[in-house]
Amino acid sequence: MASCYTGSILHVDLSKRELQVELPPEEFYRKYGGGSAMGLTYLLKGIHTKIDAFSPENILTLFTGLPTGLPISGQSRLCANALSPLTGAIGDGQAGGFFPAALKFAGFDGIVVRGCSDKPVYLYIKDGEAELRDASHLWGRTTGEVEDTLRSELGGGKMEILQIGPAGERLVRYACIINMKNRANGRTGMGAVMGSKRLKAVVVQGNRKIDPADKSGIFALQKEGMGRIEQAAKWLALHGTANVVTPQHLAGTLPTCNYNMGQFTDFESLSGEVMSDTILKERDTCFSCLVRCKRVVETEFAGRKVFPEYGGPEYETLATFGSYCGIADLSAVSLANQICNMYGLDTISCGATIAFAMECFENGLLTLEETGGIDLRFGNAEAMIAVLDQIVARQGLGDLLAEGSERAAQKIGRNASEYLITSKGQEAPAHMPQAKRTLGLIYSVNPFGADHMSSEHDPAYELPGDSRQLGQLAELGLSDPQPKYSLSEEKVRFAYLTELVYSACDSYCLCQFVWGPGWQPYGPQEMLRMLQAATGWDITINEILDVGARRLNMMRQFNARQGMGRKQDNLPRKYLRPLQGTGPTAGVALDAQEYERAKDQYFKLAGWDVASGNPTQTRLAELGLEWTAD
Amino acid sequence: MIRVTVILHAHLRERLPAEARGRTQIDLSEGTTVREVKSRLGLPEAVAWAINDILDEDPDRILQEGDTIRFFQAIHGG
Repeated sequence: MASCYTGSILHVDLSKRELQVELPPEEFYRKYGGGSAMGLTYLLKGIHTKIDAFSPENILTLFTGLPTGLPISGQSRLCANALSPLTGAIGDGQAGGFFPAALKFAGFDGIVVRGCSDKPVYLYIKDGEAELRDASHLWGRTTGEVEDTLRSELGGGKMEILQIGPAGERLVRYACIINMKNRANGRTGMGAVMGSKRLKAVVVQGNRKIDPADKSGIFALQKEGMGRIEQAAKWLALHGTANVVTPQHLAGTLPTCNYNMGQFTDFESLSGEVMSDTILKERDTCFSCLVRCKRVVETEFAGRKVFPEYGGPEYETLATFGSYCGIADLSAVSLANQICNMYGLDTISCGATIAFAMECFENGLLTLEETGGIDLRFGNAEAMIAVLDQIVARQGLGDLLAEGSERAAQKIGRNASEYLITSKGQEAPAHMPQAKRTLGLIYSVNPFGADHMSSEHDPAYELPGDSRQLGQLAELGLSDPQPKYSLSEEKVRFAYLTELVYSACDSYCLCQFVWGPGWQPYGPQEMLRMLQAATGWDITINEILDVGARRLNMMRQFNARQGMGRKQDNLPRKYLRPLQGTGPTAGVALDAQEYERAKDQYFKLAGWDVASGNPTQTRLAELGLEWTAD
Repeated sequence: MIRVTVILHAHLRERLPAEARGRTQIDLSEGTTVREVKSRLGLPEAVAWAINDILDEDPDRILQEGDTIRFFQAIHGG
């Protein structure tokens, strides 16, 4: 067995209050790599029919990857998977921080949670021993309060805490799981599933050594990465993902006023530079990561303080609570970010759902009476915060919006669904397919709904191109960069191949900003070297791609059991209408037929049935996944 | 001579004094191109720019009196 993983997986049955340790063989680790792929094996073996996401039959998996805990950048990631209460499809959320590495130091590669506790509990793990403890006194408390309480009760010392906030307890369908009070397994409502099981937190402590097979190989890569971060990724290190605001605005891809426009007049007030110059207190990082892209801010809005312990807004948050809502107040967005981290909400779905409600209000589908007197117009920061407060409390209009924009649209009726930006029920992130055409394809076919971290974005493979990025993509056989706004066959191939690498990243649990094929610190060859050094195995690029393919195929198989397929691979109708506003994307609309053709090609590349969009027996057999057809 | 405003984003700001916060005005002889400005400021080859907030890809573009040019790292995701 390679020394980079513990070899132990913890099984927790909350209904029976039973804990068991599984010791899978090495082949299992090599075949699936960890993360989502590994979690999916338990979901597929345990859920065979259509179920409710909040039923005890749902299974929540929390998995690290093979390199998690090693001394190299971009490896401390945790994948959470379960049937999603937001989409009715497979759920998937990934987070960084120190918890993922600490879980391995505490003795486990992953946790499989089944059943439902009759009262709130938390899972305490120390040096390979686990127990369930009463969490009644923690129920209803914010993430900061829970951290303080548990650290005090457990006598301080080194520990990491993964938890849900009150939003997860109240089953807000896009509730997330939080660690360090500011890192989120954000997407698809994994926090609501944890809440439905009455599992409030997981606390880990331990000092198990996690060693690579080839220490010098890992150290050499970390040293190489240090130079590349200084040369090519300094923008991310200095100003974080907030740096993306300005280029997105200039490209006409900064979603504004609920995706009606691609440029936001006041974009500069949300930019990374303004954040650094005004409210940034310090930079933070994940375990062993040299990039240090995380933001820590301190400010106040409307008399409410924003505390550094809750981190700071990422680009996605700046967009969803900022430009999506027409709001240019960085402090208001930072307060929204803090509320989401205190109460445990996905900032993307939450901000986008509020933006949806704003458009409904502007068009008379929601009245002042229905909003409880809140003037929910685009640009009203106080109103945005007021509705967010209602969502976390599930009060007033917030109770409806806690269901997500798609369910809210059904309830509001009339033409509210025309204002949606959802794929499979999940609100779109802040990268616009009106310019990034293959992203529109991935938004629609991705098994867990619209997601921006599931493939490389189009400009990486568009002319004139950056020589370093193109060189890394060439390592995957992508050597024919395409014109802007293209959805050509070559572009679809680019989307599929980079999706496989991203899917592998979410199995090995690697940060895409560090290991993504179009990003700066490392390319596919370095990823290969790192995995070989970590494990001592003779891994190949094709083996990495197969791990990524297994995850995607298992996700589609899972969705098929929930009655889903190509019919659910939708694009919102809003994308088919010309964008308003200014800039390069003004007037641009997507062509539904072009996307149907792209889907045909994508399904053929994936080896899936073109009509149903589901994996074929042949493809499953190639990947050793015949068992998923049971 | 013409005067243009230059805005340097992200890490490129370090090429100017900290108090400038990435903004400066420079005087150029008429007919100066983007390429020449990049060279004068010591900017890396792989840098993107926008003139008056319109993206541009022609390094031989001649700058005009009163133009504002932004230089930034091309970022495809995030």
